[in-house]
Amino acid sequence: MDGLKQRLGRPPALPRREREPEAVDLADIQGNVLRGYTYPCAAYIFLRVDDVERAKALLARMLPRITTGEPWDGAEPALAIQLAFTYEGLRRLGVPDETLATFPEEFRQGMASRADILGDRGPSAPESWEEGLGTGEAHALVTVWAVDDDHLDEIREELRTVGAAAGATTVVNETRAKALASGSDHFGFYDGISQPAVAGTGVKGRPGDGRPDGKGNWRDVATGEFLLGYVDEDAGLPAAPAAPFDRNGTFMVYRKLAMDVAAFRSFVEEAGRRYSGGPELLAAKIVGRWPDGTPLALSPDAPDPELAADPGRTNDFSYRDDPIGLKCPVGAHIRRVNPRDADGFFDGELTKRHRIIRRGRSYGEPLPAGVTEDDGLERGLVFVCFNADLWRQFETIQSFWVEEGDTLGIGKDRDFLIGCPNGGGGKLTIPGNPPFFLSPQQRFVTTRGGEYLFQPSITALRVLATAER
Amino acid sequence: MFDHNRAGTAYAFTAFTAILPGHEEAVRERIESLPRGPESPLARLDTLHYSRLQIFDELVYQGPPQKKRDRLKSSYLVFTASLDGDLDPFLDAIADRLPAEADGWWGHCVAYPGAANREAFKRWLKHNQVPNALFSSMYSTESVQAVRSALALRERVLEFATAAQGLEPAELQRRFHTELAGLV
Repeated sequence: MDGLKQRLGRPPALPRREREPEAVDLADIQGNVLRGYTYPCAAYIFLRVDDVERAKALLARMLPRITTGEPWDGAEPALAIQLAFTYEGLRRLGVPDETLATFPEEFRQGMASRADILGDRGPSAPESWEEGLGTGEAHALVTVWAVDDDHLDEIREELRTVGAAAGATTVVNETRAKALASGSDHFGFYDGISQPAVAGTGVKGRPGDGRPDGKGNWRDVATGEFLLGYVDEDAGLPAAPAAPFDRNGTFMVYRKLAMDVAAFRSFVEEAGRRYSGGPELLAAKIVGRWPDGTPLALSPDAPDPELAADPGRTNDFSYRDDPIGLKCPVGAHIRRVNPRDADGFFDGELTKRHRIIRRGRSYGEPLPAGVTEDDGLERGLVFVCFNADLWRQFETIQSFWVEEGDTLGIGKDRDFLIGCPNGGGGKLTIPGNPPFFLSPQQRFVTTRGGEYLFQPSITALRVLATAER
Repeated sequence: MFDHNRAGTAYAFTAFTAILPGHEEAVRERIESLPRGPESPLARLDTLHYSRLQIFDELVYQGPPQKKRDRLKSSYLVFTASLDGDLDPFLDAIADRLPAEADGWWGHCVAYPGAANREAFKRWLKHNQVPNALFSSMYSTESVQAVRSALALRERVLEFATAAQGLEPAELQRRFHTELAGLV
């Protein structure tokens, strides 16, 4: 097992979180909600249901192989499988109309019809998405994680041949993802550092993972913000669809985001020549962290390798002492998507209900270091997140904090890293004396496709597999 | 005397009007079909900062168990507005500028006299007015027009600052005088 552990590729800077007693029914939830897998390889396989009864038989066959949230205790499986469904998928599988009607509107509509508020315009518009996404054809998403590509190939082949031979399902879209050796994303920034610490999961959060308590400490975010059937930050149960989907399930966001690395590098190089801090600081100001993960909030002038390597410190920061963003700009990517206790958010009271669990993974080969010419290859991030309420959590972050700046007091500026460029305008203000204006905004990230999914509990999967139509 | 409905020069108006039995869906559809943003009929009110039309179907109670639950005798259409100056000219403006729309939603309420009968219309709204327990205004001393022109000025200054970034002092001064002349 030692060899396997090494192959799981956990970055040295992020040792496993400590265990504590749990209050969540771990055996009934799918594993990747509360556990971030460190398998290097992943495949996201969207299936269309062709024959309901056969698809249900396939589902029943897959059931015992779905990875649950139970602790592995040293016996890591060679692969992990998760299963989620779009609204259309649930409908095809025979979920009764009266149950379907209890799912929230944004889920029923699907991601493509929310394009306008999500900023999926121009080249990101659903009309330009990859085949099989946003068209109603994607019914189920099988996510497979593995220690290597061979294990992935095996299960993928099985899905394709068994699904097709039985006439049950057809693969309509597929993406292979692979963590970059550096642990960074394609833009060169260490990713996945900040995650909400979730109450009751049996895992101890790191400082900065939870929500600010207003007294300079952190506390876990309520379970019900991420799992249906548990108390949320409003001290009640989150709105949930009818049984069996009312407990231990969660809503999942899938977005395939292409990253134009050459454009980002050229832009930083060019604008960095005009910026007094130089290109490295400029890029860090856009992101809010240095490439090694050091937060600007703690180390605004230079990366601090010691700090970046300390999981107890690298996410333990606040924006309270930096209201106008002299250290970390108000419009910096990480400050936008999680404003913590920034001015106007009342010690985190106004951020606590807008958190998401991120489970993204890079895809495509990296553009070699230093290259600023596009090589024409596709690369980016498969963005996946979990939340109890798509509108209140993911969509609020994406539409009000990424695609708009009003809530943050920065007018109509959008996220300079991932936002949709606003015609010829758009800018990022880097506060300072004098301030520096980055403008006009360019497109660095393009949506290739996406779906809203529901990831049911193990119980609900069993019902789906066996229920009579 | 302290006026709970006032903050600086801003006034907050809230009216609860009982919806006629059986008209709940009709008024809901009417509200939901209203155009948003600049196309909204409420945008014709140039002293209006912010307004909301909503339906209260029931009282939501989240505390410990109660022996007796309070229930509304009917659904209510709730209109709130944060406006410049005084209430009377504001109500006049509604009657003047969006009489058809006002009749469209309030017409489903008990004892609504219609916007054409101006004095009765204003009396009816004031009769159904409830005092605001807590009113704070983002712009308690600035009129809607002043806020709009301040935002426009901010845009111009920002555009100038962005475009003028990195200019030599002499050129910067020249452009400042030509492009922002008269503003500052």
